[in-house]
Amino acid sequence: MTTRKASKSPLCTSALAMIVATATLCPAQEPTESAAPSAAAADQQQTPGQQPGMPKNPRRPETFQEALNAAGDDGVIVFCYGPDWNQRSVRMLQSFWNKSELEKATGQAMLVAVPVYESPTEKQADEARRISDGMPAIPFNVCPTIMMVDKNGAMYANLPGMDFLGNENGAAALKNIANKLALHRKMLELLNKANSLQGEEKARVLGEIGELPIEKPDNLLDSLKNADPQDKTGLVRRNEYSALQFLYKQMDTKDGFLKSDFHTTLNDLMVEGMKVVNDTALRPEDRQAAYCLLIGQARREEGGSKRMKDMIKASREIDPNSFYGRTMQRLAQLWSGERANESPDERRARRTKGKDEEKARRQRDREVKKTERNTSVN
Amino acid sequence: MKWRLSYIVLILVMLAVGYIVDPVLFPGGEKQAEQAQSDDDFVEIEIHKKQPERVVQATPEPEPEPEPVVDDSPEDAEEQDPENAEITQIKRALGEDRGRRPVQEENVKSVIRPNEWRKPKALERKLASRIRARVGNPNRDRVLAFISKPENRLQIAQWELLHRADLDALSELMKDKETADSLATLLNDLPWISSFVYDGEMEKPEIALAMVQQFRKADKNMDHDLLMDKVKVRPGVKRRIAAAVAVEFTRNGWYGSGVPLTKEQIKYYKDTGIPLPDISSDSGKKKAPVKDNFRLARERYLYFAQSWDEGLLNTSFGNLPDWLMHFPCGWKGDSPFGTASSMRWQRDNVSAPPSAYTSMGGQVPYLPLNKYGDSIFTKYYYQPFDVLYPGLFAKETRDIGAVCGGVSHFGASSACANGVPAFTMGEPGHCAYAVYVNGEWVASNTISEKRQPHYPTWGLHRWSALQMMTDMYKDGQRTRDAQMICSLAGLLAKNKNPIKALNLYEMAVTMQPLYNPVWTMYLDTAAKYLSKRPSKYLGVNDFICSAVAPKHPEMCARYLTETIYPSLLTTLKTDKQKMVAFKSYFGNLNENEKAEWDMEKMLDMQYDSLSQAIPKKLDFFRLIADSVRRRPAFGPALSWAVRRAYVQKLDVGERVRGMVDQLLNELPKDDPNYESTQILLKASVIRAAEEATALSLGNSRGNGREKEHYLKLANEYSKEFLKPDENNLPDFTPPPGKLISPGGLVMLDMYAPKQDSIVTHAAALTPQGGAIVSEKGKHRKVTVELPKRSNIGGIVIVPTGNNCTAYREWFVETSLDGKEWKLLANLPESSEKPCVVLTVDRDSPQARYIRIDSGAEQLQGINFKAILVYDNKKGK
Repeated sequence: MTTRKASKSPLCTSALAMIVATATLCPAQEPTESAAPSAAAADQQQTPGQQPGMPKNPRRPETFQEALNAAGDDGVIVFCYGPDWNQRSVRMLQSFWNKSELEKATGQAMLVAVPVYESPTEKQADEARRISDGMPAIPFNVCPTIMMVDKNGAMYANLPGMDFLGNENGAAALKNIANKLALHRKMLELLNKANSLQGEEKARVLGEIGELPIEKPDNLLDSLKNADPQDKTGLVRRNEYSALQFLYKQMDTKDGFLKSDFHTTLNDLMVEGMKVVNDTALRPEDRQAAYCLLIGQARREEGGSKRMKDMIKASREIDPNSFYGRTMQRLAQLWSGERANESPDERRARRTKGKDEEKARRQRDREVKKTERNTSVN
Repeated sequence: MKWRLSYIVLILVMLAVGYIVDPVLFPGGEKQAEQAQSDDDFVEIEIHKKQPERVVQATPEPEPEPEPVVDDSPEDAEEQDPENAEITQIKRALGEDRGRRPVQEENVKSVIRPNEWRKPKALERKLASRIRARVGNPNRDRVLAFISKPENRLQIAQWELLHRADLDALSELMKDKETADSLATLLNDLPWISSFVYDGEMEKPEIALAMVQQFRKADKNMDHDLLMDKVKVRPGVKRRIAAAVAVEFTRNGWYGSGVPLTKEQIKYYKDTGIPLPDISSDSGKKKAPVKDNFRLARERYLYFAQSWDEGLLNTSFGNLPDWLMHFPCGWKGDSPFGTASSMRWQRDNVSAPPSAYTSMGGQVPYLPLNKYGDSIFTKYYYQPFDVLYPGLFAKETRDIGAVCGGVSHFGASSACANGVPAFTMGEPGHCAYAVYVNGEWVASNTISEKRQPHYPTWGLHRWSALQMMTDMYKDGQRTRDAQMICSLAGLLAKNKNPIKALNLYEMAVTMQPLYNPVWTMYLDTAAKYLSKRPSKYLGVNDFICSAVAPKHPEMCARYLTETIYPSLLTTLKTDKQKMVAFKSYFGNLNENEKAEWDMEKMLDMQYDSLSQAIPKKLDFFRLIADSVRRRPAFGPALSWAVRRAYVQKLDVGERVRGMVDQLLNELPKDDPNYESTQILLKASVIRAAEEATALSLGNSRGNGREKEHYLKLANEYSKEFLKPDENNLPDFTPPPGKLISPGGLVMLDMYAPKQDSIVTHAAALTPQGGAIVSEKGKHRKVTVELPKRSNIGGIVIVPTGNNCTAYREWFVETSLDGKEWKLLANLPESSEKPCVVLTVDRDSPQARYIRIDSGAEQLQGINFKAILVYDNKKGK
């Protein structure tokens, strides 16, 4: 799970902040007529994971708090489902969550299923609150979701929706959970190892944690800076760098928009841009992102085509399989020979429009020739 | 043969006795008219007296003996409490006082054979005569009894469908036996056909039916609910999906741009006899290319049908009322957010309870520039990444970013993809969306209450229209009854029975005053009849005001200005009568209803209808002031009054101002409307100043005393709204001269009262920034009168909002006298930068006026944060 750091305009941010606050886990509402039957049915069902007549499974406590209290290093794995509105997640309770394979694949992790109701009865709402008490908020209340939480209650992985959970039989979900759990274990191991080291050696171990594709400890960057104040390893730079901030700084934006009097050239951007793309301490994707800005500027500038082609090639060579690397080949076709690539309709429309525009432009030019001589536009 | 004979006898009897039913359902207005006239005593108007109703008992079927028709004698009307008269009428019409139970929409045995559907013209005639024969004398009780029977309701719905269809095209479609057989089962299914006809805006039924048939071919299980044993929902979910998709995809003005048809597709439609999709624009001109709505509709149907079968949609989808099902089913079909693949991704990955969709837009990062430094307003923003997201625009938006439009589309689209009703809407300089949660529309990502839903309701993109439709359908049984009665009226009107039709239309509007289309039909039919009876018109006016104004003031004003006033105001002879009519509206405004709409059009219409006598005009102002005091409409109405009085330079100007001041003083400072009223009043003075100045430009008086007075007021008031600590303008390097625009005056060629915050016009001429918004349109102009004549050294223009940065072919002009203009410069396209800085290097023109023209290509009008003008004195 990658985190996106997005700069939002104050206008939209405030509006969104308000609406995010309205999304609650289980809003206590009167049941609607339509939802009542299925909600009632959900109410009657046993606690997910408990087999009828079987002794209580210690790996599957009833509430999140119980699970957290009993959790070891493997933490708690939470399955969020919608009993009265999301049939797929309810089916996955049986087809995947309640299976013993899950217990085998998740080491000593505690397993809790948390209901997210749409129109709960009062009893259901109380029950849902009791089960989820102390749990991190479910991002956007998406179901089905699997949240993986460490023994301190902090989420280290979030697997929302079917991109992460695959299909209802849960095979892909099992694989992903096992993978994230392994990464979590690895992180704990590295943290332990780092605690026994000092200086650059410690920084290198912490740097390994920075490469793990799970949520990092909050203080990772500070620990790195303490361990390597001169950044001899380059790992502080690597973990501190933000491609978005680089973009905004180079393009001199305000609220993400270009300032009106901002002018730049490829040569201007190359000064800082090439420093980033040549800095092998940075992640390949970050270096490619810096190339993106240079490529974009080359496309916008007249006569930048040759340099753009070269940079697309160079960018791709950094890592052809990365997010940006995979776009480069198509980009070379699109932007290097754009007109050759356009559809017949587009070409026809462009030609017709071009002729009309040219006529209009000539006419206008004649009219304003004098005034334009006296003005300049920034 | 028996019933035919009876029918002939009935016609003969009717002809013989001169059958007339005099509809009198609005006694309140009559009473008022009488009162007004007796006071005025100016002219004889034929007051409506009750005509004895001659009921003809010659129905072909033995129906229960109808009770006497409404006792509409003037005496009774006078005895009634006028305020409760309409409510009583509604109750009577509904039969509530006799404990009538609502009709259940149960299915009835098929009455129309497939073969008959193959000859739709004959079938329409047959149904019409059958219905006329069965309903007999259409008095209220008989009609209510008639529509209470499912078989009758079915026939009405069938007739309505045929009545609105292109019968030649339908006949062509039904030529195919398989199609006729298949569609006949649906068309004889009462719940299905009544939903198809009445729960949306069925504009091209023959094409919609062709689509439904296409869905059936693609989904053999349309009639089977695979989930019925698992989820408790109303049966026939997929049939209802088919109806909703087909109706939405054949609507005029169905939103989104078109996809061209391929030659193969055109050949397919010709070969199969299915009418080609042909969508006309609002102006009546055909758009090219034609939309391939058939393909898009089939994709959409299959998406919902399959998702429902597989249990992948929100369970509540199956229980949505049919009208609400139209929102997800009709979600932008030709938008990249509306493709089946993109919706499938959202269904699988953004599934949440309805309330959570109000925050779902927050998944999208707000990024005006992409990593290539390309703006969201250019085609290059998503282009580099398209290859990684084939058909998955929602996912691409979430991963790459967007601004308000993408954020709101993601939120609304994810709700619709999961079967939760939602739509996007425009706000000034912004895009928001709304989701249906717990029986209400909840606006999200919103910054203003000035909303224009992209989903059209009765052809209107108005939030108020949508709210009214929602209220209407919540009262489902009454609405459906009113719709059925309206159809009956249409049938009678078509068969040249205008009086009977009028009777039924009245019954329908009384039963459900929120049913917008029936008003038009009623008033069209009634135009001749009512024009002779002002009292009757007054009654209608009062009824609309009492039934609609309290909760839907904007829609009520629309009814009045578009359908009632054009006729009513010409039939009423005295100002006093007119004032009675106007009072109805203001007196019925709800105390809690916000007045976020353009009241001025109605006020202008009312005011202009009065005689030119100043006392009458003053009476009108007083009426408004008294009627709306302590209500949210107070501010807008009074501000209009002040402005109108000033602009017309009437003697009443000062007196109105005094009255307004007095009223404002009477308003407690803790009143929730106090601040907004103050702002509006001051805005009205500013606008008066601006308009008066604009008027003075064209006449010889030039800068008169009034203008100076207004200018002073405008600047005085505007200062109150400047916020010195808040600099909302982007950074820019100003031209090398002295800023000379502060203290100037702004004039728009077309004001936009709904969007414009007029009190900040003066601030827009200062570095603080404000807002200047005109109505949309080509070549909108904003003129700035500078405090004094100067040599222009530069101008800075800051467009407003995130979506308003695309001015093209716009230009700026200068003038010394406001009459003769010279081009100063053509401005560059403002697509990526938040403002334009123009520097006049040499030969600075001398000017008192600066005018900016928004250009010919754009329909967005003026929408600026600031216009700053600098002189040519270097060194400041």
